[in-house]
Amino acid sequence: MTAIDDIALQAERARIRRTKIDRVLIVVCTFIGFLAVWEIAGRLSNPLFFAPVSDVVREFWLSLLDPRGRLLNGLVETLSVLVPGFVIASVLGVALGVLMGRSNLGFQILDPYVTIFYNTPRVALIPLLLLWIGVGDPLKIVIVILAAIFPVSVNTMVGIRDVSAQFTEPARSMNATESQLLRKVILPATFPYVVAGIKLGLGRALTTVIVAEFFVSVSGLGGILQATSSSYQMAKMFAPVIILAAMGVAIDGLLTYLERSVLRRYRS
Amino acid sequence: MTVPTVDAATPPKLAVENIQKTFFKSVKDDVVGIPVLNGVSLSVSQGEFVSVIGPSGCGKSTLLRIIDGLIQPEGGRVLVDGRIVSGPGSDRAVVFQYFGLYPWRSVLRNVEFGLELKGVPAKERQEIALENIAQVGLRGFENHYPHELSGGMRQRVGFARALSLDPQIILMDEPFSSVDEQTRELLQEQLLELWSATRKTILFITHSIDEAVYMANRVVVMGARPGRIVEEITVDLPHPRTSEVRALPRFGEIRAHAWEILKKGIRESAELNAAA
Ligand SMILES: Nc1ncnc2c1ncn2[C@@H]1O[C@H](COP(=O)(O)OP(=O)(O)OP(=O)(O)O)[C@@H](O)[C@H]1O
Ligand SMILES: [Mg+2]
Repeated sequence: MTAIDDIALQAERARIRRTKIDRVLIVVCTFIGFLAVWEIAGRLSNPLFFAPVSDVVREFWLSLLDPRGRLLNGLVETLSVLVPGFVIASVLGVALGVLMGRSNLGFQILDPYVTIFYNTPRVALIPLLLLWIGVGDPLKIVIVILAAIFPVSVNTMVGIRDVSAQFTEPARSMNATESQLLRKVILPATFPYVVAGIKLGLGRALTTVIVAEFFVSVSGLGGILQATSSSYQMAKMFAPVIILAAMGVAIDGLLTYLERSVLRRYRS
Repeated sequence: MTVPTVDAATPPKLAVENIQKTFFKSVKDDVVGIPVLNGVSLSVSQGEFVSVIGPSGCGKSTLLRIIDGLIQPEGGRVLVDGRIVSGPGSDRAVVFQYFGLYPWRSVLRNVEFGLELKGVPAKERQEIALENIAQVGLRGFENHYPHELSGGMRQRVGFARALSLDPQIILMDEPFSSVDEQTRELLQEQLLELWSATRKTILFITHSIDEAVYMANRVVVMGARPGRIVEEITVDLPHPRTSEVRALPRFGEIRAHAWEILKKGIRESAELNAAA
């Protein structure tokens, strides 16, 4: 390497370091500014409608430290319907998608209903289901399933119908049975679509379970939101919001990571 | 899947008898038939290397799929060792132009795929796969994924997968058409070496007249739609085929002859299309 190359290399390294520092500085400064505005606005406004960030953080911290506190219990309660409901919805959704994607008869019979359900706002069903199932976890699980199953099944179906002959032909040429074709070719080829459906379904499930809790729960995250806002406990109300935001970001981050690591292979 | 028939007086390795193939296409409210192959017959002996050339769209890939058993002809039949072919079988393997690899599987798992489908135990199939990966010169890439490989390397993975199944007949559909010139010559050389070492029967579709003549014992020239065989040219060039063979006057003669016949086919197809 010549001296000139070396100087250029050093300069390039310094430039990249500077842009990195700049980026971090911008994020940190705007965040501090944002917190400052929140704090000032919180102190100036009516405490019935808004709270300064220092109060919110203190409340949040206190409720996190309290092991029998409402917030953690609320989180557990919400997760205890969200997780099983979502797992059931994913499994049933993929199964339904496979049925509709692989069988023309299945498609012709099921497609109208799936289309209707897919496009009906889930929350509209809550009062009806309340009447049928009553208050309690089963209701919330059913609602989570209804919210998440259709995005998963529709995406799975589209993916299966899209599987290229370039994937099925070699397998058939190597004497794959129908079941091998489905398990080893069609389902893996459909994986990116399933992940997209799961991403969509999880978002819908999270929204729907919170709305359901507004109606039927006093202790889930949605219940806490409802209770604290109707009793004007502003600083407390922000705690479940922060947790929900963190959950949303975590889910998105996880699925994005999955896309980067596994789904990267599917492109090119 | 092969069904034994009565006549069995040392039949050729592969016999294609009077194949007719029509694709059906819906036009408005009706269906029309498009004849693609019209009476194709071909006989290939054990250990022969036969090239197939023909104008684009004349039905070469369709013929290959029929021989593999992936699609059924409307008329005629395919026989391997005198037994009628009714579907894909382990006596034949295809190397696809589009490689046909699975992007979610590593090189090793792609090569193992056919063996996995057959239910070969994990340890044994890995052994066979590793051997064939080394055979095509990809040692060290076992754990790479297809998107990390060049076109030539992917093609070799597809080839290693076909070899792992130890077929008697290898059907290759323009296997080297999407790789660069140097890689192509390297792959040609490797394939010829493999062929002379294993004496597999090879049916090799290509767009390149040069490649068709260089590789084969016999060049089959197909004419335009509906596809049929217009001539078979015996390639009486010495083995092993090396770059010196390309410099022989005889090589040039055969190539020129093949080109003449192919041109006639292309001209006819242009006239047919103009008339239609
Ligand atoms: N599944 C199909 N359905 C309808 N038509 C088809 C189908 N497959 C092929 N064809 C048509 O049959 C004809 C022959 O196709 P084929 O792919 O066998 O040609 P080819 O000789 O391999 O061409 P190329 O040299 O371009 O690869 C083409 O006109 C094509 O459009
Ligand atoms: Mg073709």
